[in-house]
Amino acid sequence: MTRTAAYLAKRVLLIIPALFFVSIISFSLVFLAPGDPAEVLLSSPQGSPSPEMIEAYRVRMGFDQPVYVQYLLWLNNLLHGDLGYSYMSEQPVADTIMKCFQATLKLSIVSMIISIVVSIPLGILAAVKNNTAIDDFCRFGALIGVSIPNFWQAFLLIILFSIYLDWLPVAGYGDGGDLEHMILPAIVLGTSSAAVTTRLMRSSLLEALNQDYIITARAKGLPERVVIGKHALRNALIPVVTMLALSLGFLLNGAVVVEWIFGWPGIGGLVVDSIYKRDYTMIQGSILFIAMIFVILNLIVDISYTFLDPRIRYETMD
Amino acid sequence: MRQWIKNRNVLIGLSIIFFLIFIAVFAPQIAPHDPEKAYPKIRLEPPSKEYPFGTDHLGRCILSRIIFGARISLLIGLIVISGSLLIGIVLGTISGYFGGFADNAIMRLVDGFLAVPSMFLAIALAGTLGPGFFNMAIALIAVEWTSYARVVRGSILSVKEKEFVEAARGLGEGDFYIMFRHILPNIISPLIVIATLGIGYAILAAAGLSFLGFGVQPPTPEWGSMLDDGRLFMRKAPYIMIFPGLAIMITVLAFNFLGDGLRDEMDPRFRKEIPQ
Repeated sequence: MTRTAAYLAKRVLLIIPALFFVSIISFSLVFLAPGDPAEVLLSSPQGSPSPEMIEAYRVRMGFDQPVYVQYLLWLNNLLHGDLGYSYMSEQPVADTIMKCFQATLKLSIVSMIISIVVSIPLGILAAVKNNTAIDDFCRFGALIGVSIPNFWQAFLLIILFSIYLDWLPVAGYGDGGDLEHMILPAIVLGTSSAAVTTRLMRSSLLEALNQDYIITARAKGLPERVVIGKHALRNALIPVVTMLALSLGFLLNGAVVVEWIFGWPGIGGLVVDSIYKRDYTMIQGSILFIAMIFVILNLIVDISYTFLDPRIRYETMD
Repeated sequence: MRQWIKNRNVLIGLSIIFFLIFIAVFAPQIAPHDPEKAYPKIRLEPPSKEYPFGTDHLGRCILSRIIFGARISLLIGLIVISGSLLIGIVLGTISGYFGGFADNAIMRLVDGFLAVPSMFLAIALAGTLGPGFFNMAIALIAVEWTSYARVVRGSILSVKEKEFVEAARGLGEGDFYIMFRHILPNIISPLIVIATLGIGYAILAAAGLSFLGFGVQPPTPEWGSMLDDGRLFMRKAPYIMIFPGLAIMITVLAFNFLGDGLRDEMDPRFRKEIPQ
């Protein structure tokens, strides 16, 4: 157990340097943009600011200070939970992000349910019927799922269900994000994550079926249903269950384009909009926030893995 | 090589990829029309004999634009993968071979990049750097190099202590000679697999960036931005949304087929028959 504890402590501590680098990446974004940061921040679609405005803003925001001083000031605010104010809406960045994250979370949960319902049975089916037409079909479907551009899939669904059949709204949040508005984006996000989980479920079950204890179980004369359901599936589900937290990260990735297309007020759409508006405080805040969520999800994956699967070898995981 | 071709997935993937390369190279000869020339009189025409995939909102031939679009997509895939491999191999090799402080510093940097979901990072970078082919390539390399660095490092750790490396060291060969002459050739197969899959991912992500307007700019024919163009007209002319998306999917699918097939061939674990 001490080794487990040491591993977990190391794993948790490693988050700190990771988030430190993320903070540097987010902070540098303003400097990557062509032009002077003050000008970049003050520029709006309405036009460029006057030189006096820029100078006043530079002093007020500390842009006249050396870069590392600016970074430390920014980091200090950050550690106090202050992500600054949106240049466009003048709302606190943290408030907007929290509101958007709720919408994203809601959509992610529904997508996740769709993904699980589709992928687990298909993955099991493909593994059990290994090297048959059914397996080929499931594998091909999963390959299509990872290869299809999610924005294209979104438009195909909109054309079919919203334009031709007129069953569902084209886009929007509806009454606080109702199911009607959620269903199409959730299908798009759910299918791409389902494709990944199906493949994992299949390969994981195939590997389990290849183990010696399965041969023993079969030799004992146990019915195939018990061999697969009780012996193989239990072990095969471990990586799949732990990976579900990671596939939430996968959903976040897809959310960037999908939320924007469907006008879903989540954090993915927020990032795209903020970039269009050059709202850098908002971009920095969103990137940091999403990285924090992502890092925590990964931590959960690793920790649950160590507890669920005692065979895990810690030294291979760093 | 011959046994790989026998793998069905490898065969399908390679055939499609060669077909796409052929189209990209001979685009000016194959395309029936000028991909950038607008004919406002024939805008949003449905597919016909003259325009097999129809025309877009400016009256440009969609088929010709898709044919020329293959150039951009294959090129971005190639550039992103080359850049990522270069950075990944150099940093991963240093990290795995030398260990210690260099290893720690590089791996923490990798953790930092991996902490941001790739599409968020790519969009933030491409969006701030400004639109354009090369900025898009930089943004995508920034999100892809990490996986190569990790794979290279992991593979090096696993072969570093093998006898043949010990032997080379015993013969008095230098670190760099050992790394490139003895270790790299031994880790090439996992790299080929993830690089193949990585090209597919890069093409998909690039289409997404261009779709959002952060990549290749009009009037250059690019599949993702063609979908963005068609977006406003999909009620009137839904067919303009069909073919560019299909082109992206088939291309990405081809690289995924190839990558999957190669993995099956190279990883003996997948070749084992399941006892029934």
